[in-house]
Amino acid sequence: MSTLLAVEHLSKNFRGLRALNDVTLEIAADRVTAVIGPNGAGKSTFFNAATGNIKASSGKVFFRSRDITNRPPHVVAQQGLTRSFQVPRVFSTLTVLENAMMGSRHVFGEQILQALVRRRKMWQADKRLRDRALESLRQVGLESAADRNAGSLGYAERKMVEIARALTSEADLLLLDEPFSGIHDDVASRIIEIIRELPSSGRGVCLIEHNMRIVMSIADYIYVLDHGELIAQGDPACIRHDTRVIEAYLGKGQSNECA
Amino acid sequence: MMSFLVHILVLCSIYIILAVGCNLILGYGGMIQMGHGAFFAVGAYAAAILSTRTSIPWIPEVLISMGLALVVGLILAWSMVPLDPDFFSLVTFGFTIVVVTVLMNWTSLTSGAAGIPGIPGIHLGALDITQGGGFLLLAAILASASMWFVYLLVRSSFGRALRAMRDDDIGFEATGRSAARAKVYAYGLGVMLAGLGGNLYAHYISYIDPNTVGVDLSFLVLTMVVVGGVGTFTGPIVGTLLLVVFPEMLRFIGLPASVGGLIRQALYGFLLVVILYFRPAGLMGGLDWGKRPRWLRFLGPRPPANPVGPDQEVAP
Amino acid sequence: MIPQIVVAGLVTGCVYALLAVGFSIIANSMHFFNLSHGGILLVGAFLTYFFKVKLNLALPLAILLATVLTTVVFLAVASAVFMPMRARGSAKWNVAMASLGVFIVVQAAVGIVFGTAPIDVTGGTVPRMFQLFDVRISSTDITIAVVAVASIALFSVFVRTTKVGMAVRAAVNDREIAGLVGANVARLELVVFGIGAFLAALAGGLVAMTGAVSYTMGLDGLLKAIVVSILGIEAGVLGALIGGLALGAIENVTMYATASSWRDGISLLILMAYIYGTVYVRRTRKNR
Repeated sequence: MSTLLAVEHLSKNFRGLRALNDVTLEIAADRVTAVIGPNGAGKSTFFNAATGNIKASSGKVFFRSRDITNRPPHVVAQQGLTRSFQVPRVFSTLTVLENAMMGSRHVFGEQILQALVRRRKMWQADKRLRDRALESLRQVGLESAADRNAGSLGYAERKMVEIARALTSEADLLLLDEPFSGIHDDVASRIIEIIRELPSSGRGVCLIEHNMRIVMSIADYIYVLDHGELIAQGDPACIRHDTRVIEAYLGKGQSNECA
Repeated sequence: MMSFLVHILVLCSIYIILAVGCNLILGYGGMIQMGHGAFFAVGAYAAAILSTRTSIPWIPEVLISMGLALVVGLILAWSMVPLDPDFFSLVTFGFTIVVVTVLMNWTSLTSGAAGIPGIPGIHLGALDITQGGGFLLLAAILASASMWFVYLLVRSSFGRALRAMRDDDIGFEATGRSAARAKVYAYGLGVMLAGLGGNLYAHYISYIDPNTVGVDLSFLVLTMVVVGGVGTFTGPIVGTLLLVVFPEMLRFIGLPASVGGLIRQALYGFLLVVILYFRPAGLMGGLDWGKRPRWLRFLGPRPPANPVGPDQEVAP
Repeated sequence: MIPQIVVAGLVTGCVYALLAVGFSIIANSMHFFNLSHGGILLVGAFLTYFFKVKLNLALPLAILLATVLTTVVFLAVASAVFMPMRARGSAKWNVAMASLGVFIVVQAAVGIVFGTAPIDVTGGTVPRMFQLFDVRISSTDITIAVVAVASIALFSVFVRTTKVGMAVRAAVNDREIAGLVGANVARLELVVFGIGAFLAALAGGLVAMTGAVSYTMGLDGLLKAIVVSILGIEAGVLGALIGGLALGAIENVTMYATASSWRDGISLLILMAYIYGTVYVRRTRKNR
C-alpha cells in the first residue's frame, strides 16, 4: 500500500471553534477512501487544510512523504494532488473543453515564449492536450458540450466538468468534495464508475460524501469525523455497525466498535 | 489639414500601444492598473536621455526603453501581488507619483521640471523619421505589432490561464497555477508596451517633462480601456479612437487652449462614469461574440461579463 | 529648530488625518475606495475661497457654508451614481473607477471655473502668532488643529453613544450582519459617506484658510488620504489620526532635511515601506 497523503495530528481553530482536532489519517493509492461524518464534522475543513486553502493551526500534512503543510494551494496541486469543490468551480467564460484543458501542467514562462516565437510547437502541445481533455470529457459524458460556454452549464454538469479537469490533470490523488450532492442517480452511476476505475490506474481517490448508500458501495476504507475528531476508521462492513458512528449520526444506542 | 490628420493618427497609434498593454493588465490580468503612466515615463525618459546624450542608435535604444519598463514592472508587480487586490492598485498609483517625484528631483539626470527638449527624431539607418508620414508609418507598424503581440498572448495557453484566473482565482490555483506569477508576467508584459509608447512619444513630441507623463496619463489610458471594453480585443482600439479623436475635434470649435485641455479631461471623466454606470463591460464588451461568423473569431475569446473580478469571494 | 518643524508638520498632519479618517470610514464600511475624496477636498477649499473672497463672508462662516454645501453636492453624486451601482451589485472596482471619473470631472470643472493658477485666499492678512516654548505657531495653526481634532473626537463620540452612530459602527465592522439585524444599510451607507465627505470638505476649508488653493490640490489630497488610510484600515480611526499626524511630521522633516520637492516622494516611500512591512507580517500570521 503506497501512501499518497498522510495527515498527522492536524488541528484547526477558527477563533475558539475547534474545527479539527488532532486528526491523523492516511490516503493510499490503490483504494477508494471516504471521509464521512455528520454536518459540521469538519470534513471540508480537513480538505481545505490539507490542500492549503486554509492554514492549519497545528499538525502536518505529507504528500508522498513530502511536507506540504501550509504550502499554498497551487504548490500542493503541482505535487500531484487535485481537488474538487463542494460548490463546483468552473471558469465561466471558457468553453467546457478549455475548462478540462486547464487540468494540464504548465510553466508560464515557457508558455509565453512559445506563444510568441514557437507557435507551431505550441499548437502541437495544445493539440495533444486537447485530445486528452476530450477523452476526459468523454468519460464524464460531456464531449457533446465541449464548445459550450461553461457558464451556461447546470449544477450537475459543472460537477462533471470539475471531474473532467481532475482526470485531465493525471494527478496522483483526487480529493472530491461531495461529488454526489445534488446529482441524479443516472449521472451518479457514471461518477461511481470513474471513481471505481481510478485505483486500478494507480491513482488514489478520497471523497467526502453524505450519501451513505454510495459511500458504502464504493469505498474501500472509511474515516469518520465528528466534531472535528476522528472517531472511527475501517472498511464499510465494519463502519456500518460501529457504535460510535451510529451514535454520531443518530444518538446513543448499543455498543459495538470497529477500530 | 492633412498634417493634422497625420498628427492625430500618430497619437492614436501611440495610445493604442498603451491601451493594449493596459488592457492586458486590466482585462486579462484582472489588476487595476493605475501606474501605466509611470512606465510610459520610464520609456520616454530613457529615449530622451539616451538620444540626447549618447549616440546609441534607435533600435537598441527602444529595446532599452522596453526592457527597463519590463524589468521595473516585473519587480513592482512581484512585490505587490501578495497584497490585497485593493492595495495593489493603490500602490500602482503611488508608484506613479514616486516616479514623477524622482523625475522632478533627480535633476542631474532628468533636468527636473524643465524637462528635456530637443529630442531628435528616429534614425533608422539612412532614413530620418522625424515627423509626418514617415513617423506615422513607423508608429502604425508598431501599434499593429503591439496588437499582434497581445493577440498572440491571449490566444495561447497562457491567455487561457489568464482568462481562467479572471473567472475564478481559487479554482485557478487548484489547478496548480500560481495566480501571483501569472499576474506578474501579465503586468510586466503590459508595461513593457507602455515603455515602447513612451519612447515613441518622446521622439515624436521631441520634448518631455515630468508633468506630461504622470498621473493624468495613467487615468487617461485606464479610461480608454474601460470605455472601449475591458478584456476585449477591439476594446482598447475603440476606446483610444474615441478618446483621442473626439477631443481633438473640439479644437475646431475654437476654445482657448488652456480650457480645451480641461474640457477634454472633464469629458473623459464623464465618459468613464457613464460607461461604468450604464455599460460596465465597455462599448465593445457587451457584444455577443457567440453568434459571430467564423472569420471574425480570430478576434479572440469572449470578454468577461463583469470586468475586473467577481463581486463576491466564495469560500472553497 | 526641529520642534518647530515637527509642530508645523503636525498641523498639516491634522488636515491629513481628517482626510484619512473620512476616506477610511467609507472604505471600511462600504468596501468602497472613494477616489473622489480628493475632489471633495478640492471643492471644499474652492468654495471656501469663493465665499470668503467673492462673497466677502467671514472666514468661519465661509468654511462652514462651503463644507455643508460640498457635502450636500457629493451626497447627491453618491446617491445618483455610487449607491445605485452598489445596489446593482457592480464589482467594487467598477464603483471605485466611477468615483475616479467623478474626481476627474470635478478637478477639470474647478480648473475651468477658477482657472489653473493657484489662488490666494487669505488676502495677505497675517495671522496672530503665539510663542510656545521654542515653537512659534499661528492662530491659523491652532484653529486647524483644534477643529480637526475636535471633529474626529466628536465623530468618535457619535459612533459610540448615539443610536445612529452605533449602527454606523456596526456597519463599519460588518455590513452584512448589520443588515441582517435590521439596520437600514443603504441609508447607513449614505450617512457614512456623508460623514466622510463632511470631514474631507472641512479639511478643504481648513487648507484654504492657510493660504492658497490650487486645482491640483485634489490629487495630492487623494494621495495623502489613501496612503494614510491604509494605516487606518489597520488600526481604525485612531490609526488614521496618528497616521495623518505622522505623515505631516515626516513630510515636514524631510522637507527641511532635503530639497523640498522630494518631500512627497520620500514620505510616500516611507509609508509604502510601512504598508509592505505590515502586510507581509500580517500574511504570515493570518489564517487563510
